[in-house]
Amino acid sequence: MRPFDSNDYRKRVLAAVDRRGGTSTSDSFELYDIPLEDAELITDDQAVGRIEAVWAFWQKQRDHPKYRTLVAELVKSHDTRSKPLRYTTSRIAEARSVAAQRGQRDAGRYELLDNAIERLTERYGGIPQSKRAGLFDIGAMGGLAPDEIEARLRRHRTVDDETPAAPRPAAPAPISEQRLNQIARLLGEFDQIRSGGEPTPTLLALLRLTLDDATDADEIAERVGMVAERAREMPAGPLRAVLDELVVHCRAILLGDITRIIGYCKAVSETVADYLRPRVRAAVLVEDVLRHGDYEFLFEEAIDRGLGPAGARTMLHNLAGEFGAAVESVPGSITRPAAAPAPRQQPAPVPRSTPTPQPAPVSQVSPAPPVSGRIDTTRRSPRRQRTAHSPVPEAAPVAPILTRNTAPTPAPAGPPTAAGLPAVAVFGAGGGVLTFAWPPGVTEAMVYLRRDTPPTAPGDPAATALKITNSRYHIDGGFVVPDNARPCHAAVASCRRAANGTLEVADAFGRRARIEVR
Amino acid sequence: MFGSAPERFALLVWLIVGVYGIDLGTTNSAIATVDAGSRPRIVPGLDGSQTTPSVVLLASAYDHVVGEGARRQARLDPDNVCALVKRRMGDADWRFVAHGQTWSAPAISALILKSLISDASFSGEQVQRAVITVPAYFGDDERRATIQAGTYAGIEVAGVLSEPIAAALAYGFSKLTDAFASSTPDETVLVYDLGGGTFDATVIELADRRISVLSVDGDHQLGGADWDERIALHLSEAFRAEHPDAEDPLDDSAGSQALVLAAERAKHELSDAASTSVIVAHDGRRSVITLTRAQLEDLTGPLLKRTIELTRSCLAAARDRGASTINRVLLVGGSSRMPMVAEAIRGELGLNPQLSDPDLAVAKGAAIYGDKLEIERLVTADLRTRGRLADGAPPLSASSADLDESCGRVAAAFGLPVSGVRRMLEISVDTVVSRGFGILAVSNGDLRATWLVHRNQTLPIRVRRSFGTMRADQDIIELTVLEQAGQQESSRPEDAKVLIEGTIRDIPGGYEQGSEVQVTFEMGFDGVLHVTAFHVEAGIPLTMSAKTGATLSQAEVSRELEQVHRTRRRDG
Repeated sequence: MRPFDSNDYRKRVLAAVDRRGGTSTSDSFELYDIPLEDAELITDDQAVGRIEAVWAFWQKQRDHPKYRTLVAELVKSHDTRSKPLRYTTSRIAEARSVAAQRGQRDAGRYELLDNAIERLTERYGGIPQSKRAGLFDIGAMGGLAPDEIEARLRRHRTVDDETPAAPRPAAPAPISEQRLNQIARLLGEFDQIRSGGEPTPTLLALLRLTLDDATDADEIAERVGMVAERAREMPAGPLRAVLDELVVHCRAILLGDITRIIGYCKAVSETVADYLRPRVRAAVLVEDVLRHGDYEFLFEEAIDRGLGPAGARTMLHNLAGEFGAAVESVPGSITRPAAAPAPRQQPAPVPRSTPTPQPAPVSQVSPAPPVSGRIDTTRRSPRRQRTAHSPVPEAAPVAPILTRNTAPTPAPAGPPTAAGLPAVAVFGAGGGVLTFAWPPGVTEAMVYLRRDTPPTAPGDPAATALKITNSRYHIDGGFVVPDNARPCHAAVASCRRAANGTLEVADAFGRRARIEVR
Repeated sequence: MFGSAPERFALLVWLIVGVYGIDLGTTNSAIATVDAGSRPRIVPGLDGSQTTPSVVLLASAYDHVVGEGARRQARLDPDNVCALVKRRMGDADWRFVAHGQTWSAPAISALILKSLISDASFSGEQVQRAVITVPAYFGDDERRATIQAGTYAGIEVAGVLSEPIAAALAYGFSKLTDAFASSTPDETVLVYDLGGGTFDATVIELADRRISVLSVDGDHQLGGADWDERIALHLSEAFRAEHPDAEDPLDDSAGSQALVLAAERAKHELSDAASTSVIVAHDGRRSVITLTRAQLEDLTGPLLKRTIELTRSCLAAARDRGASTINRVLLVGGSSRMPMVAEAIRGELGLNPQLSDPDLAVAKGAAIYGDKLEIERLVTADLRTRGRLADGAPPLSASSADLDESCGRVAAAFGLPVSGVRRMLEISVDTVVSRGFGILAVSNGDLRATWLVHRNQTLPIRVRRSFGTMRADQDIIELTVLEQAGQQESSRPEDAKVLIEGTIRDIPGGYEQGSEVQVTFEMGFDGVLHVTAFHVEAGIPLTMSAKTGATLSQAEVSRELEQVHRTRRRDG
């Protein structure tokens, strides 16, 4: 193991983690710069020496303009992350686990690209020249560098068939590029500090709203006030500082002049379109049809990036139309593009009462039950709940090109349990709001609710499991037990993310983890 | 040998040294004293400068550089340069590691203090006692850490004074000390203090011989350094936009130091000019980036807005205490020089601010306060020596004649006007608690924070709370004391900071369930909390052993003290 070089560590490790958007796909060996192959070779003293050197370096970066948020998270989770590396036995076990996870990740990186290449060669006898750019986009989605993609493509024959590229529409925004970048950076910091939970792609998402709600000034004002009030109760720290600033932006843009909010929505839409465009191109690359499976996937992607259902539908149709592709938004029903792409709609005014989402027309589909853990615990206004629809097409389904391989697996109804997670102590449940102490380094918790008796253990089949992140906890002031679940018995267990993104829950409740909720 | 009262007083005068005022700032520090007319003056550094950058370079295990020299060498040895250490005060877990040694925030701060003291000695000033200023919004842990830094530096910390009060003292010096100043109308002053790393807003009533703080608000993690970081990020982005293949300067130790320094320089230049050019050279590439004042305001507008919102909150709290009109707005702290600050205060609050010696007012005000403390001590000592004052009684409680005599003797000993000594004695400074504190208690079955003292209550504070034992012969009571950590009180324990986890022990046996134990919480002018306990029926004080998160162990303190004394300052 070579001596620790702080400058090199910053460029090689911190920069890479930051580029990936945080530590969710990092492991302890990477973060403490201990080569995996040295896990068995180094002594415990050497391991501890490296851990301490890295920790000392993090402390010196607490005010670094680019890395201070990342470093604050690393410092906070230091005890938990470094523990398995300190002793030989646990270090070797951890190394084996990490090696397996890294192998899986690497294999997954080429999967998307190889699938697309296979389909193209089946259809065209090689890779059409016009489709090459799309394959680079697909490869980049899997995390491959351009030279890695090029090396892969070189293995296959190229078919010459140049077609003109689709025009890239551009729209000016009255909000400066700098301001937009600043907001994006703050939202990224907010997500990074939370280390888990749903992403916050826009100012409206911070308020649990979408672009479809952009003109509902009353609702926006009420929610901004709630966030600001909650921020004032929070202790000084990165989360409060980021929230304070986001509140400033919310007031200036979402509650300011109407042209500002329109400009902001346009800018967000452009960003989402830029993100989706290569993916749509990849999805329609082979058949010039955006198949239902890919449509559903991209629809969720658009929603995850802040669009509302109406805006997402319109955007996908427009983007497919840019490539002259049809859209199968409903299984078996294909919509051909119009001569010119439909004009982008302004955000539709939303009535004062909370709207319900327009369900996608489904004639032969039985909606699957909502994914457990996604029930919103905000006590003020119920959030739209997106339900998953299981498509049951009549014909043999075309395998979707796009998959969620690299996205973290949402918490299943019964996530796997794991030993070694710290216990949670519950303070109380006054007014139906569960409050508890977050152990250091824990950013997600699972709350189990059961009517008849206290939950026996995490994963109790008779209990309902609901996940909460620490940031949502701070914003709401606790875990809000849904009204229709009370009275009940509650118990709380801490969670963590494995390197592959799987959520793991503590295998037992702590001594003070249970409480009755009236 | 020194049997008579005059002889004993003469001995005391011989032993007296002055109390200096030290502004231990996030980016710059300064030290001041008062002259014969009790007028404050800055003690310059060796190079004649009035402020010293709060930057420390740990050059080796045995020597260090402080100030401008450390800043200059920052690019050459960036990993061993510590800046902005004030932001880490009160953080028990933070350490700076260099050359195999670890340094806590108080220990690094002690090196800065020692540098100021050493430079002062070249001007003939012997600094043994000092008042050190802290942001008004500093909590208990941060204040204790500041006192610890003074102890490490080998001085007696005569007091810990809030920076806005120091600034108001410096501004209102003539009003407070001039015998004819009673004709000057009273003023309600808003002090907007935007320093390198902290922001305070304070409303102060300035009257004849009286300073009263009405309200405070602020954020001790918001200051000029945040402006620098925003500019540095912008410069980095502009550089990479022009040279996409070049390394990001922020990824390199020397590169990021250079960029932050360049950002700070650009910020200063934009206080006087509408635009400036910044050269960024890194990885064999070079960019000339123009930065305008408008761009700076766009980049940092939300930071400024946060200070305005905090100021608004402070003004609202002052209104609740009867101060509906602000007569004056003082801008303190180097970062308040930015034109956008004055513009925002005018535009958003409708007030007209004035720059009030922003870099030096705090140190000068601390020196004035130190002078007051010293005069109080001398007069008190003289009164006690002559048997004219009971132990613990304030000097103003002595008879007028005795007081006049003592003031005369002190004035004669130091060549001061008697009226000036008397007036300094009569200056009263009332301040408020910057953060509420309370205890963790069970309420309706839930563990909740119960606030005993609220923010903006006037100091000193003495609150007594009674607890009943839960069972007969109970011998311990566990107590958790909390400090308000947010700007608003929250009943959620996790929003508060645990100040003390204490155990009241050795409760005598033989007493019924429900026996009363009184716990007294006292907070003096310095804002540091003291907790004592008393068993009412037994009539005895009880031992309270407390574990506070931020204090160092005795062993750690001894180690650090030895480390601070061993290292030698060298020129940069």
